Amino acid sequence: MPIEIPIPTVTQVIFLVMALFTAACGLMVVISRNLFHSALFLVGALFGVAAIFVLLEAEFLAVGQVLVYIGAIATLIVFAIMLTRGMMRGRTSPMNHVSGRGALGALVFFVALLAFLKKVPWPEQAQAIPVDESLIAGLGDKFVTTYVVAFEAVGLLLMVALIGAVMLARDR
Amino acid sequence: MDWLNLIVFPILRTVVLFLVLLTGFAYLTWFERKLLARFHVRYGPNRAGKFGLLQPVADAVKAMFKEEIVPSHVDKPIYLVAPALALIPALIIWAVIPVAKDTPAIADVGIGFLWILAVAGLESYGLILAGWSSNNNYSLLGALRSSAQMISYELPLGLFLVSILILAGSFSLVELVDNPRAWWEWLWLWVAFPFFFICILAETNRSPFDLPETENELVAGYQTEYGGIKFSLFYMAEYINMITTSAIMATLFFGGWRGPFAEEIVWLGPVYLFIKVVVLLFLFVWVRASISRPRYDQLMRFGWKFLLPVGIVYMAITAVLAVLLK
Amino acid sequence: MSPLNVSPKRREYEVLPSLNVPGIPAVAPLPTGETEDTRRIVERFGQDILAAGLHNGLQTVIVKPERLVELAQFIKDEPKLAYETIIDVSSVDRLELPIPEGEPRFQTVYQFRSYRRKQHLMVISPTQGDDEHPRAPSLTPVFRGATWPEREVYDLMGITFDGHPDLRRILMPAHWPYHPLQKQIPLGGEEVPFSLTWDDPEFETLGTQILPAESVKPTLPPGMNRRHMIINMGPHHPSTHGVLRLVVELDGERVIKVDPDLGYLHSGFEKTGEHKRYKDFVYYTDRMDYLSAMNNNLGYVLTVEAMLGVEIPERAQVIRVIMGELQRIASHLLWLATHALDVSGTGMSLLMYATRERELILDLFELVCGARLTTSYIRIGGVWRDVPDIFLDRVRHFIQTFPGRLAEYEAMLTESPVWRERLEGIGVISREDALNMGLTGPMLRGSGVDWDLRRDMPYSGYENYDFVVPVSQRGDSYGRYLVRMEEMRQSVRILEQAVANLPDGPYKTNDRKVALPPRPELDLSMEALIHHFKLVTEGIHVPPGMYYHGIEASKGELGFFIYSDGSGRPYRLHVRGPSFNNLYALDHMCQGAMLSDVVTNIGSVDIVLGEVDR
Repeated sequence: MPIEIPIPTVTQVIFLVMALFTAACGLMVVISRNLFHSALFLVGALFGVAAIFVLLEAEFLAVGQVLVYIGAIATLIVFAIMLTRGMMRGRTSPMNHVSGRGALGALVFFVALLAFLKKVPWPEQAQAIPVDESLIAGLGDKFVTTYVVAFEAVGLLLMVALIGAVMLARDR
Repeated sequence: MDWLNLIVFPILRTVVLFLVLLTGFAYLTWFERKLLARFHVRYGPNRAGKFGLLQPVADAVKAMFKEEIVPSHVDKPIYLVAPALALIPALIIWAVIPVAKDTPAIADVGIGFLWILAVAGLESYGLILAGWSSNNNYSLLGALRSSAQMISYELPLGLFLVSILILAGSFSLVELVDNPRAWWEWLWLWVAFPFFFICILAETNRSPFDLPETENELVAGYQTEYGGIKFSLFYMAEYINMITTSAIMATLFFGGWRGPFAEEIVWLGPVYLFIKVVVLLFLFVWVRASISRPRYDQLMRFGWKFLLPVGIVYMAITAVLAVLLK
Repeated sequence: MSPLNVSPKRREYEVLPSLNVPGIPAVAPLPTGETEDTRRIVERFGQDILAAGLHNGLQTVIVKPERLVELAQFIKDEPKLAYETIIDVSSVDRLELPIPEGEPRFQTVYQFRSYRRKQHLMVISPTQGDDEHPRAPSLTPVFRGATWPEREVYDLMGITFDGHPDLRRILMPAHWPYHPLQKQIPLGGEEVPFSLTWDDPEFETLGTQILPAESVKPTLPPGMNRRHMIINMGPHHPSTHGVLRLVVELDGERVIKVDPDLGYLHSGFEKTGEHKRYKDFVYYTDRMDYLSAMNNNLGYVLTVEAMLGVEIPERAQVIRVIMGELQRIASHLLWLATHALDVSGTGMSLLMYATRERELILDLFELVCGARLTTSYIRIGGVWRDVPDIFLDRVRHFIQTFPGRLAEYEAMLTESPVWRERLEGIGVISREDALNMGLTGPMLRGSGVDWDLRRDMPYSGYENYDFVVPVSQRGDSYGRYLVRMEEMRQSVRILEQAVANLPDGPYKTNDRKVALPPRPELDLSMEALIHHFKLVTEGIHVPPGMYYHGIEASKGELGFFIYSDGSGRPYRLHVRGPSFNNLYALDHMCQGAMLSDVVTNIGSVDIVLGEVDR
């Protein structure tokens, strides 16, 4: 009886590589001894996620991920680390007194996520994905019709955060 | 064959594009030095070859044969990766720029605009990493300046891009050039060009916004600890960025490959694009020779207090115009 | 690692027997007579004034050190005296002089200036303490401008100033074992104690990797805090105009403190000068402010001529004025070029444009003396040679073309918004601070003090020319920029008048004790031959005494203080360089400014390191 070796498709191989890369980067963010390196690994992890988005043919999300998370947020994190000289030079230990509790929290979150994944009835076959143009247009449309409250709430939150940041910076 | 279309042709195109860009970089340095020399009432390179045309070759040979020095106090992996990271975005941004009718340089991604924005956002990483890993106060200050400057000027840049996007009604750069524009669209676009150009100057760290590498106070900014070919890579990144952004500006504001008979004779497209790019590059050099550099805080103030409001207002007016007139 | 051995090895070297006649060396005579100012001072201080009066035409007061500070305060505050600023601090080591028994070996010498009353006052004070450890009270509480000159005196002469806030060495390395201007220290012959020798373990890594950062332990200047970012600008930095090293304490990009570290170009001009004949030191003055060699020549030569009391022919005077003004334009042009480059970046074409005009001036210098930079053209008693016939035409051509070019530069800068943004409100010095810190030249005029030595204490016939002294009330870098630009235009005006009125006549004095006789005379006259022989072998003998003379060089007041013992060589020669004293203001100018403004301020001070370090 011939043993059937499942031959992975190219997509699966790429997914596996990207997923492993993302997971490894995520791990390194936590265990790296140098805060700056942690930030760079975070960039790597975000990049891996963007690649997986591309794999899922969600280019808009992928580019959005790169644009917002890598291009802006991670840059700001790196920027903040560079401004804080004490953090930059010294080596920080990944282990401190809350590491146990943190691990516990991560575990609980993982279990919850797993349960959630099991519970949700995922559709077997997605609807036909519309082509890019209408997809993005539809996304925009939804933002100002169906989800307008949530959209505005997020906008308000960001506004408050912005004002708070200005107030903090003003103090000096 | 499918794999031919999927793998071989893109690779071929990429190789050709890289060759063109690297040659372009080499002769852009010559072009700039010659032009600057003319602005400065001197001769410029004129020893190597006719009109100094072999000067870039000489420079390249010199850079490659220099001893590779890695200072002992640097963060080695990051230090080595940084020049490459600076160069890559400048190259890959080209993928979506149309060079002839219906022909993007590599691929017609549906989200060409966003691609430009996203890759532009990555550009600062090379500088930041170089500055940080060099473990040198000058480099650090240069990196801080560059990241702050790039983030700040990306905002108005994005706003202007979005405005153009609203006018074009499509995320694809290929379609942008292909679709005809009304005369008022052209005029309105050209109003934005000076502001857009200023943002581009800041994004490419070109004079007068070359504060991250101001040799007058920061020695060489983030490049201070680099030498030889690694230093050349930063240079390459800067100059290819100039070419790239010129091509983007030509595409967005001046019809890219368009020109008389470009629709019928396909090879005229790249020629027209080339001419437009050279004219825009001349603008870069001209600005460098004649406009003095602001101070760092003045630069930031200009970005946040002038360019950003202008961008917002411009976008708002564009949206109104698009709704009313289209 | 064992501590570095910096103790020098002494080499004995031969001292040639002096050619001096008996009676030399002699002490400078005491001042005689009285002026209104000295009378007031004597009235106030009575017995504590050892002597007062006129000496070589200078108001001179010799005061006991105990009351020196009080005297300084008095002449500063007393409205009828109003000596607002201290110009210079120097000192004399009288070891080789026949001083009376019991008098201290060292004297400190101060130059005070009243801008309002156009008066100059020299104050001399013997030191306290024994001859090995001389001490003097510090004038820094009264005049901030004494800070650096007193540090210099401490460094080079070894006089400790009591009450000085920051008494460190300034020109010599921190571990230097001597105070080199003391007379028992020979000129040369001592081995230079480098901080590293080939035996040091530091060199083991040489060739494999750059020195590890720990090997050179920088000492933090006093008052700086390591919690902030400390940046080391220089000595190899693109915009410190030479080998200036600045230790800059930064909070973000804000400057908290700047500590200039000088002396990388120190070459001991003063010590060298004491071993050169008067006429031979002219060539050394070129190398101090190497951008205005003519002015340096002139300053030195005028000092010596005043001590000799020699008359300079009219033609030589006018030639000197022409050279001085051309040099001023050349120096200002280079300042403009580098300042524009520093402030606004490489792309700035002004560097090339301004050097293009400077070339024309250097060509003119080449025409008259064969040298472009180190001219040595102005000599004691006149100038080296008469100007060639074509010279005047060339100068006229320059005068015609230059104002147009200058207007072009102004069009590029003066009203340019970016340029104004970079200069306005940067490095502000108030009038009071400028006086207190002893600033001179454009730094002083940029702060609203209407003073120009050419107009107010004229020399070389400057009283015959019609020109305006530009003054700016702004006190910032932009004000100084405007002042210098206008000065160039005024220099052109002076040039026009000088070229139009260049008289005929001899180009050097006929005094055979000072200037060589013409060559043909040697064949006919025995006396001329003797004069020639004496001048070439012994040089010029200057009568015993001391003198200070300042001229308005392009960067400020360039002063020479000479103490003569009657021989053919200056017993003590001190240079008051405008760059040195003006650079002291840098810390004051930079506080609270951005890092970029440090560069603007250095450019605005306009320094030449050859003169700062001397």
